[in-house]
Amino acid sequence: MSKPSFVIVLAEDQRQRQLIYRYLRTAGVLPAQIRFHISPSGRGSAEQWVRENFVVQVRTCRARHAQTSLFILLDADTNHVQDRLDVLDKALVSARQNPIDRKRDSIARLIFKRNVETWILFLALEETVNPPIDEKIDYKQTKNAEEWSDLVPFAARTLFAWTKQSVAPPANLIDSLQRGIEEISRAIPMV
Amino acid sequence: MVERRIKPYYQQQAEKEAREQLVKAKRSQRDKANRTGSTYNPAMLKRLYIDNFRCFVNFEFRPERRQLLLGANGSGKSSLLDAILFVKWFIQGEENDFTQKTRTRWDPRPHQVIELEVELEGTIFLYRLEIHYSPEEQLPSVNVEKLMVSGTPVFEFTNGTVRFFTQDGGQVSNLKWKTTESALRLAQQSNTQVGRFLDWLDTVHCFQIDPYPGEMEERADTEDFLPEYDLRNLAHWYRHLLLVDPEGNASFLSALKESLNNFQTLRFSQEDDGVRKLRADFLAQGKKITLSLSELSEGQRMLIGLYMVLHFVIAKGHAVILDEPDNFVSLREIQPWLLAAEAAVEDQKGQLILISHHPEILNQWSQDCGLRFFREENGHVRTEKFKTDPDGLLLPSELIARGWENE
Repeated sequence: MSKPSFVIVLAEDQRQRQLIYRYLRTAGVLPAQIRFHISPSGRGSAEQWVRENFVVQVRTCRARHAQTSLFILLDADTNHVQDRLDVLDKALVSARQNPIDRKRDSIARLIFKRNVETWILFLALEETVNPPIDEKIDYKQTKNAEEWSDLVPFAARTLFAWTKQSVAPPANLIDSLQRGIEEISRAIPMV
Repeated sequence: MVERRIKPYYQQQAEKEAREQLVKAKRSQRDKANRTGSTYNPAMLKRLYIDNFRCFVNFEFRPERRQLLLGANGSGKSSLLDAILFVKWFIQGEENDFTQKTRTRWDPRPHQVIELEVELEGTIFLYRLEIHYSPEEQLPSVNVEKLMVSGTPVFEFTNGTVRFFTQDGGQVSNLKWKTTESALRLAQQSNTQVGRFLDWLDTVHCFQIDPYPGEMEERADTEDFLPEYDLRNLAHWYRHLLLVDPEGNASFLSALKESLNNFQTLRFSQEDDGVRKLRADFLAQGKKITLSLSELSEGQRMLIGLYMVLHFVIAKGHAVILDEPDNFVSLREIQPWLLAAEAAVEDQKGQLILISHHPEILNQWSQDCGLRFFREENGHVRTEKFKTDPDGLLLPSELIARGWENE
C-alpha cells in the first residue's frame, strides 16, 4: 500500500483535529489532500455524530478507486477502547456494510483513552511526567487551551516517529496509543 | 519488525532541547504573567469598544486568538473592520476617515468613542479616542486621545493640549496641538511604552482583498513595506518581501504550488518602459507559459493574496482581520488555507479574525470560535457566542441557512 492520495478525517473536536492535522503534515500529506469533518456538537453527542458519519464515509471510500484513507477520531472517555471499536463495527453491520477488512480498508480508528489530551501529554512530555501517565486519569483540565496547542506539534512529531516503524516507542506505551499506532501504520504505512 | 531501542527517537537531543526551551520560555512568561495577574500571550487585541460609530452603540468586542464573525448582511461585521482600520490610519497619520457620516444615524450625541485594549507581554495598553462632531463643521475634532499602560497615563491629549509623561507616570511637558490629527506619534520619544503600542499597531492588518484586475496592480515600480488593505499593491509589497524574507518566500511559493494547478513560480519581468511587472509561470501541455497578474483569474489572484497574507503576515504572529477570504476561491482550496492559517496562529501566537458567510468556514470555525452579530429592528449591533445545534445533527452552515441559529 502506498501513500494515500486523499485522507478524510472525522473528528469530535478541534483538539483532535489539531493533532491529526499536524501528524499528517509531518508525514508529508499535503493540505489539499486532507479533508476534515468535525462534529457540529460538543463532546458527548459528538461521538454519535462521528459514529453515524463513519458508516457513510466507509461506504464512499470503498466506492472510490483512488487511494483514500479514512481516519476516525474518538475519545474513549470512561469506556474501554474495545467497546468503542465494537460500537463502530456494529454500526457498519447495521448499515449492511462489511466489517473493517484490516488488509483492504485504509481505515484508522483512533480511540483516545482517556481522551486526546492523554495522548498529547504522553507523546510530548512522557519522559518528564511523574507519576507515569495513566489512561484512566482525565488530564484535560491540567492545562489551558493554549498550553495544549503548544504541545501538539511535539506530540505529532513523536507520533510520526513511532508510526514510521523505523523507531520504537517506549516500553511503557499506553494501550490506546499502541493500538492507535497499529491502526495508523496499517492505514498509511510511512516506511 | 520494529527495532526496540533503549533511547527512542523522540528523545534525540535537538527535539528535547527545543521542547525544554519552549517549556522554559513559557514558564518564564507565565511567572511574569502571574505577577501581573494576566495571561502570558505575547500580543493580543483583548478588547475593542465602539460607541456612536455606524451601527455600533456602546459596543464591546473581546476577540479570541481565532475568531469567526458571522451574521446576516448589514449586521455590522465589516463595519467593525472599518472601525479598526480607521483608527489605525488616524493614529498613523495617513488619513482621517471619521466624518459625520460615520456617526450612528439615530444617535444625537455629538461624541464618538473608539477604544483599543491590547495585551503586550502581559501588560495592558488602553488607547482611547474621543471625537466631537459639531453641526456647523464637516470635519470632526479630537476631544480626547490618550494611552494608558496598566492604568497609568503615558500620553494624553485634551482641550488642544498634549501632555507627555515619563516612564514612571510623571508629567514632563505640554504642547499645543491641532484637533484634527492624532498626536500620539509625538510621544514615542518621551515614553518607550508609546513606541511599543505603535509597533504593535503596525502589526495589525485589516484586509478586504480585491482581486479585480483593475484594482490589483501588476506594475511594481517601487517597493512597499506594507500591504494595502485591499492588496492593490500586492506586486509592490511582494517586491519588498523578496528582498527581506527569502525564507518566507520559499514557503509561500511552495504553498502556491500545492494550491494552484501547474503553478511554477512568481517573478518580476523588466518591461520596455523599464517598469517591473509581476508574472506567474505555469506549465501548460508540458511547456512553460508566463502570464501577467492581470491575465490570471480572480480566484487565482485571490489565492496568491491569501497565501501572501498567510506566509508574510499571519505566520509572523501578527493580528489579521480578514473580510470574506472565501471570495472567488474554489471550494477545494478553502479548507487547506484555513487549516494552514490555524496552524500558523497556533505556532506564532498571532490573532486571526475572519468575517465570512461561507459554509466551509462556518462549519470549521463557528463551533469553537464563532461570534454571531445581529441587530434587532435594525438597531445597534449585538453579539452572542454561536450556538450549535442542540441535537448535534445540523452543521452550522445548515443551521444558519435555515435561520435557526438564533433560536
